[in-house]
Amino acid sequence: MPPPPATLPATGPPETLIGGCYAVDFQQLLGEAGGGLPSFAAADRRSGRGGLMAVQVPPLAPPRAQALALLAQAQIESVLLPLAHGPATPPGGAPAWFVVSQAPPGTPVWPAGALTQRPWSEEELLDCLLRPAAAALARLQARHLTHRAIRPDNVFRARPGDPVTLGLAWATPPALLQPALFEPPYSAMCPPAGRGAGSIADDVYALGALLLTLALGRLPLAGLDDNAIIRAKLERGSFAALAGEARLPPAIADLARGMLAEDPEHRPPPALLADPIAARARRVAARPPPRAQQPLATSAGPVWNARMLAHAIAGDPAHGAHLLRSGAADRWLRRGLGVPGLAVRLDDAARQHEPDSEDGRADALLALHATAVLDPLAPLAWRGLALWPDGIGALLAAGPDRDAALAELLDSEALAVWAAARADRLDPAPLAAEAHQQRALLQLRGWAGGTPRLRYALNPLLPCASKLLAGRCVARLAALLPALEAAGAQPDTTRLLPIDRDIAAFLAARSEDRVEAPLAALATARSPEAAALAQLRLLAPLQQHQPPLPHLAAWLGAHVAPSLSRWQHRRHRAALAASLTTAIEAGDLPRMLAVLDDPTLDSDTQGVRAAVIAVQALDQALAALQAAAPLRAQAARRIGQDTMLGLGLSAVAVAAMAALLG
Amino acid sequence: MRAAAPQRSSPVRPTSSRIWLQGLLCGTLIAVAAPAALLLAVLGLPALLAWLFDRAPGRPMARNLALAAAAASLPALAALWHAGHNWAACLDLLADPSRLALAWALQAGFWLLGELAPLAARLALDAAAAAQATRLRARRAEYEREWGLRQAGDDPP
Repeated sequence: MPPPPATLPATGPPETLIGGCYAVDFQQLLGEAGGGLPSFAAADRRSGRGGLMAVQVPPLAPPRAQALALLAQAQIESVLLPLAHGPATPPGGAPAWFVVSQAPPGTPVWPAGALTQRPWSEEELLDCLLRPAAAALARLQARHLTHRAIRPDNVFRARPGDPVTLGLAWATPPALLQPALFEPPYSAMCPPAGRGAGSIADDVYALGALLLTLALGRLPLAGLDDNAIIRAKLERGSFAALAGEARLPPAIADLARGMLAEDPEHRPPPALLADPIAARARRVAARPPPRAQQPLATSAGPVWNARMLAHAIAGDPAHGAHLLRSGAADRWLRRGLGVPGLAVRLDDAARQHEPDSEDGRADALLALHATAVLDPLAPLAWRGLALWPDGIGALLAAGPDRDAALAELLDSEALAVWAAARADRLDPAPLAAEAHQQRALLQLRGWAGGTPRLRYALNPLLPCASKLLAGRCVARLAALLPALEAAGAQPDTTRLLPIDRDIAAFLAARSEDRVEAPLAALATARSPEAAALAQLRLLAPLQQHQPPLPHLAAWLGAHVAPSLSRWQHRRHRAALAASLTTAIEAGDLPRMLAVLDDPTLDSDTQGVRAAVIAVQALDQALAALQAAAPLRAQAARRIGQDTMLGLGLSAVAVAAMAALLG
Repeated sequence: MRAAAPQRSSPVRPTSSRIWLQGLLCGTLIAVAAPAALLLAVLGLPALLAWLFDRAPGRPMARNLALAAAAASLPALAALWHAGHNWAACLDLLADPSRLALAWALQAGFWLLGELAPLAARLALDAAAAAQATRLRARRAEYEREWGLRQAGDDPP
């Protein structure tokens, strides 16, 4: 049975719907149901079905979008599947993403905080744990998915004797919450976010570790930190390190030895584990790693075999490169470990990566190359950071601390070197193609590229981190405009433009249309109003089928209004200003854009040119009038003289007539 | 009396042949018709003075006054001719103050009109130019209003 809900004081909004029908009751906190994540009771408002839970996604750790999509309509027994996911706001808290699923049938198989419990019997282990879990993993494998969250606090059962149910694994990046004990050493040595989805063999390993733990009735290697656990596994092998001298039922010991094999290819597949007898019969001869007579001193401590040396070099590439270039590693490998072949390959690697600059890139490449040569099972190691290539997205999402190292990794030929060094285990072509694509995004100039763009591109459900959104959970493009509308209601926010670097990268990653060109225009805008217009051009298409956005329209309108000055004709400009005001009041971004993209701009430009020419002609005419003043004076004199001449002649004629007649 | 036009480089001086011709005509007139010459000289005294002082090209003012003097002298010459063209008739005619006053007043009037006519014409031409400039400025202002062209220091001429 699910644990009794803990009731919280009634504060905040009463109900939030996820996926349009799942209501989260934030007053009912489900204790351990989330496998380490906060979980709340939920109910289906359409069918009235209860017994559901909503698991809160931690910040900077986006849920597994691909798994959530593939499992939306799936029916798999013995594993909690996602029913819906979406944002919701806990009372008094910040908005967060939630994944809704069926609540677990009971409590975790291992009480939280306990170091020991009653060992499970062989029958219990096989019937209640191995068979149902293996069947579930086989179904997941058929969908090209991994679970990556098999640990004691995330495997549940209703009561002793019942089959277990694997807990929810879709609310975080793969293996984010896995203790080093339940992860293969090559996954545990990575930061939690950089472990990647891995393969189903990693789930088999975790299931083997859980099998062993429940069989022992105690946590193996208790009291050791993660690094010590990893070193113990690398030094002695996982099964030997975990089981120690403990006596286990032979069947369980055989199964666990196979499931905890260091090489994923040596672990039995889940379909085989569903038949434990057959799985036990499948024995893979795996030689233990050769151990040197004398250890080699490294910055990580003494190392006894090639795996440990690879781990030490990966953790401290500068010292590792020194060991390799000084010949210390070569001598130890030849004389101490007796593997001259490895020494020759390392010597080749050292010659390939001669130091050529002071930034240590050659050392980093040499360490990466040497790690892959010494231990082909090891993850990619770059400047002390171990990761699997499919974990790059989650690592970027985890924070900006590793952005520079990851950008350098993608920008260099490190992935190609690593893939080439372990070509027998990995087809380098898809990895190279993916790295090329990621490098292209990184190298995009302007706001459409760089690590922010890559961060959102590789994490489809990562909420936008823009400070303008004030903590609102915007993971999908459709949620961006409502969030900006809410932000626009805050007067302090509207002094800046609504699209900042994070929102631009989010838009570029999420938009189905090509937005690189408008984003480039935004980055190179020469005036604030040009930038505002570029932002309006980006946001307006998103308002299709959305309600009016008066605050956002007013926000943008205040910044784009000066761009009306592009129109010189005052009456037309005044008419456009009136139309813009109307569109702003209506909260209609496309109409605003239509006003500002008025097709009369070209004719207006031609009109102003004609007006300038006409004014110049008028000025010339006025100047000519002014310059003609002396000519007018001369003409006036001539007119006066001619008039008087005519008058005089007339007078003479009259006098002559009078004299003749008189 | 109007002074010689200052803008002219130099007054038009009659050539020596014209001076001789004028002298010959005057001499002939005095010799043949001395009373008529005296009558013309007295009645046309302002015109003669204007001829001396008008240095403008073509002596327009002297010409005006000469025409006025001619118009005023023709009835007196006709009367002299009918009276036998002798010195007594000439002196009788000259003794009539109204005749002398009329002739000189007419020349004074022509002088005044000769001074005022160019001014009036100048006023009329300037008024027409000002009206045209006003129309042009109005059209310019309309362009400025419609297209927002006016900027600081952009005053029309």
